[in-house]
Amino acid sequence: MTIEQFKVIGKPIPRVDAFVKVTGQAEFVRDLNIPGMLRTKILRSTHAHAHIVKIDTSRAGALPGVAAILTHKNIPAGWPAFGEGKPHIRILDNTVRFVGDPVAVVAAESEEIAEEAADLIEVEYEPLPAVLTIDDAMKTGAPRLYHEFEDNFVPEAYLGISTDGYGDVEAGFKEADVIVEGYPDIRNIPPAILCLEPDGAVAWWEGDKVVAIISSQHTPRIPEYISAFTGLPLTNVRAMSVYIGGDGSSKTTCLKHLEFAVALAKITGRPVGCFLNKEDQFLKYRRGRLKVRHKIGLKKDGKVTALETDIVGDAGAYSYVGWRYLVSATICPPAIFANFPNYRVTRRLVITNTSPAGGCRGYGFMIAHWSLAQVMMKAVERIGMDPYEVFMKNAVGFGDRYHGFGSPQICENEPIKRAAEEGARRFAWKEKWRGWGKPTAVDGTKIRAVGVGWGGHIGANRHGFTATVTLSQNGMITMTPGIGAYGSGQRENVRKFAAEVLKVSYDTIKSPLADTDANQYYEWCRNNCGTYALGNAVLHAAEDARRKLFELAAPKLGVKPSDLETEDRVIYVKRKPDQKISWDKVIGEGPVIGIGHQTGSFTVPTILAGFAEIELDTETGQLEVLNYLVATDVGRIVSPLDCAQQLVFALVQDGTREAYIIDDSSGRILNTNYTELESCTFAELPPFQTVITETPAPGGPFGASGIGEPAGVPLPQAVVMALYNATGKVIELPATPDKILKALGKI
Amino acid sequence: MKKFMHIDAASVDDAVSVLTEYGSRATIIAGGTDLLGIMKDRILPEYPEALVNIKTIAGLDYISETDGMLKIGALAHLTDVANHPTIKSKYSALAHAARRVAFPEIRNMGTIGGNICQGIRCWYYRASGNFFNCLRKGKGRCYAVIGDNRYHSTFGQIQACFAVNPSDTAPALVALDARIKTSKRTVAAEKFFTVNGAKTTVLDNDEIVIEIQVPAPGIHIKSSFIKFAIRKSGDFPILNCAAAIARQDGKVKEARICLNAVYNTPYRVIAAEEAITGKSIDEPNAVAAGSAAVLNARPMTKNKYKIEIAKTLVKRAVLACR
Repeated sequence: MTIEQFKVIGKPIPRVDAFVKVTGQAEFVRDLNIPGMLRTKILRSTHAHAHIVKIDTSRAGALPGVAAILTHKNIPAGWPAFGEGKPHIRILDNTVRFVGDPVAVVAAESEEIAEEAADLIEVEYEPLPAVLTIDDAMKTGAPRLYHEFEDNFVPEAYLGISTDGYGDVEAGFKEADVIVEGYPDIRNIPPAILCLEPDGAVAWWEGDKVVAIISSQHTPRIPEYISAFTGLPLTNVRAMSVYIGGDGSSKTTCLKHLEFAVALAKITGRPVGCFLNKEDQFLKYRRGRLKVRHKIGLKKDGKVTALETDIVGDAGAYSYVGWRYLVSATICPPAIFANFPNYRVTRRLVITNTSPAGGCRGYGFMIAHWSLAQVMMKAVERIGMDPYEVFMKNAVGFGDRYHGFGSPQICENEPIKRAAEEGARRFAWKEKWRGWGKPTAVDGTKIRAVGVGWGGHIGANRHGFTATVTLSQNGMITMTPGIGAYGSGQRENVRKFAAEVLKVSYDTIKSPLADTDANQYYEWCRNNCGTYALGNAVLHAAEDARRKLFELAAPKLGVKPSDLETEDRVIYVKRKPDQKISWDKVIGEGPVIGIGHQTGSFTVPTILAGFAEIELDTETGQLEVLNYLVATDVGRIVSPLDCAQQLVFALVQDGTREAYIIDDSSGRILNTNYTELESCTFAELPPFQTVITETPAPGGPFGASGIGEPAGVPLPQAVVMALYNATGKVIELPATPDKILKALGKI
Repeated sequence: MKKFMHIDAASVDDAVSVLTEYGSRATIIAGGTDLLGIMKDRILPEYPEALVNIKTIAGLDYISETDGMLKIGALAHLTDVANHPTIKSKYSALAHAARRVAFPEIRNMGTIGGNICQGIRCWYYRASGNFFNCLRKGKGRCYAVIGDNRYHSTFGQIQACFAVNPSDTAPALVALDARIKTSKRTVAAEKFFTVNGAKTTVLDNDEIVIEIQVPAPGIHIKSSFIKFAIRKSGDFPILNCAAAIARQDGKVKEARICLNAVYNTPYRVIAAEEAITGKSIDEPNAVAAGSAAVLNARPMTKNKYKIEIAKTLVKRAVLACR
């Protein structure tokens, strides 16, 4: 089908929820004002590691308006009190393990009273030695954070996979003309995503059942978490979603505020809202740190022969999702290479007295891409090739064998080649590339240089989904599952797919927000699988509904179902359009329910190329990205505005200028604010171009293969390469003036 | 936020009398762009009992050029200072400086008086909940000495505190030889800044800024302002520099050059002024002025880079006065 044949796909139609969001009518979790609801304040640890010797809440509890104070001493009896199913994580503990670790939570009639009461809680700590870095955690005799974790290593039993690989790495290195081994030192990492709306949850009890409303893109998983710490069966838990002010995975884990709301609601018998403020959001979690050693083998012609990766991750004080960092860090970067023969990876995870590594866009693979890019740079320089040529030489195309998860897969889409060629042409890469370590131009105190970066992900069809599309007798068209409305346009896309199949106006199709009492379960809607995996399930459900509709209509019209077509709720015979019947008459008394299923696989990679031109001020060390072009093939653009937005807004967390700065003595993050955390503002977004090609993916909904999580990955690598070409030195990100002046030999 | 009294002042005398009554338990609020952050984050050990709102004092937001000088009421908003045609044309360092403060929202709220009285910018001092009870708060130590001091002083310290004055307008006012008129006295801008407990100025507890006075520059005087920060908008300066240069017969007759965010107070670089005086403004002489500016620099463990930038800003500020 061509774009002209579509009614809504590929058309720049504003989202249905855009109006309610921009006019302030959309309801977010903070807007919920449930009668009798208590508000909370979290008292946080001032120590990186300490025992709580004494905690006295008597003065705080006596303050008028205070309903309850939760500490490690009064967790409701009989609860396992595990955090998110991990037995070592307690709702609250008698040991604190990072600066900001919750110590007590006050529930009161107002946030002001709760805050005043939190000040009156007296805590006596016995400070313990702390470990703040991966290296310190691994030292012999290092202070231990948990008795269950010997030498501070988190065992594989915590959902980890410590090794995997395939092929013969040794043979691969023998075959290589150049072998480069590198241990890029990634100490400062880009912060986790801090969405506009900080986390919040509201909970109340209905007898022995609990109801929770939470700002999270993963509402279907919330009952499992609540069940894990309350011991309730899943049937006694209901979780619902409201509009979400961004997520980027940050609201999928480290959900202590949810546990606090549920526990305090139990204790007080009242609804409780636990809403984080901006600093709470900074302290809640961060992007996990990684130490990565890569060894890569390259033939003279640029083909990769082998890769060996040894990776150690820092889970922070709790290991909610630490292993996921290691897995994503080691499955995504190699996915940019086609016919990648030999791979071996070793993964280890340590725990430190820093805020927990939580979910965030790019997880571990963003950093792993940087580190691999640095090793690749050295290898490609040694063979003397243009890095773009090497990327293209290894680029994955339709039908190629490429790196999946644990074993190689066959690629079922055309993720990058056309887009990268077009991107290179539009960026004028050939004209601007002057060779390794060579600037594009030098003009007085300004140096210009270019770099290219490559990023990949294998998650477009990662998870299976089952969807329903229901055509009701009253004319309503509804679908399940409910989806978190976190801003990436998933709900719009699936409506569009169903609308194209059923040939109805897409805004008459309801795509509900998630409610676990009403919807079937799905494991995750993450990475970038909303369009391909979820979209296919909805597409198949819509097709199934149409098929059933035609089966009901066919006898009434005296034809075969295959003779039928539909338009605007009327079914007609293709060859005799006058012979028709309305949906209402066909549906009759019962709804028609279509069911669709999509099986997950690792066969649909998303790959991007990014081309950057930078300018350095040699006297001040200031870096400016003069222009940036990102190229990818999405199979089919479903929503042009959302598609481009996914690519642009990935850049606001590029990590070229910002990092958390942790005070070495106390373990406190010093820049827990947007003033000193130099995150991107609109003024910093470089002049920006997107090249989005559409090579239909045969298995995708209308050919779409998706875009999303990995969109921001190429820019930092392209900047690091451009910095190398400008200065002749590898500059670790963030590229602050001191590092650039040092690379230029000025200090 | 905790509870506090909010008292509207009807006049300067009224404000002073409330301040006298409350002593150190009261604080002035005008735009509130610095103060509200301090209060919300509860960075100080003591919380103010009362805020004396001076926005209610009528007619204190004027900008006029009279009696051979520019007079700016303390309540004039930074946006108005930045956009005022006379300031833009004759006192350009000040207009540029006001234009580079924070974001438009802050410039619309913030006043020139508040900008020169703002607190130090130090992430130890500013950590929420008074996490680091440092010596600017009356006890403790300077955590920046062995901590992360990338944004701290490069020219030593007063009273063992290495935090910097972050004002953008202050160095412009020092370079333009402004005077600060308060409810008690008139003091040269250069003498206005100091380390005074948590305060950054010589103001007493019961004293408020009323007016900024800038002598009208002669036709041979040009002024400039340059700010260095990571981001184009919203950042406090890593460094900034203002210069005002009077020329006669193609040579520099008199120069006033002031860096900020390099010391507890705006830092006038007299050695640089001397280096350029009597010379023509060209690249080699400007470079020499830049080098002279940092002769006395004493970098801390993580801020040596600021010296390179200081040299460059002095050079560029001088060249911009051509």
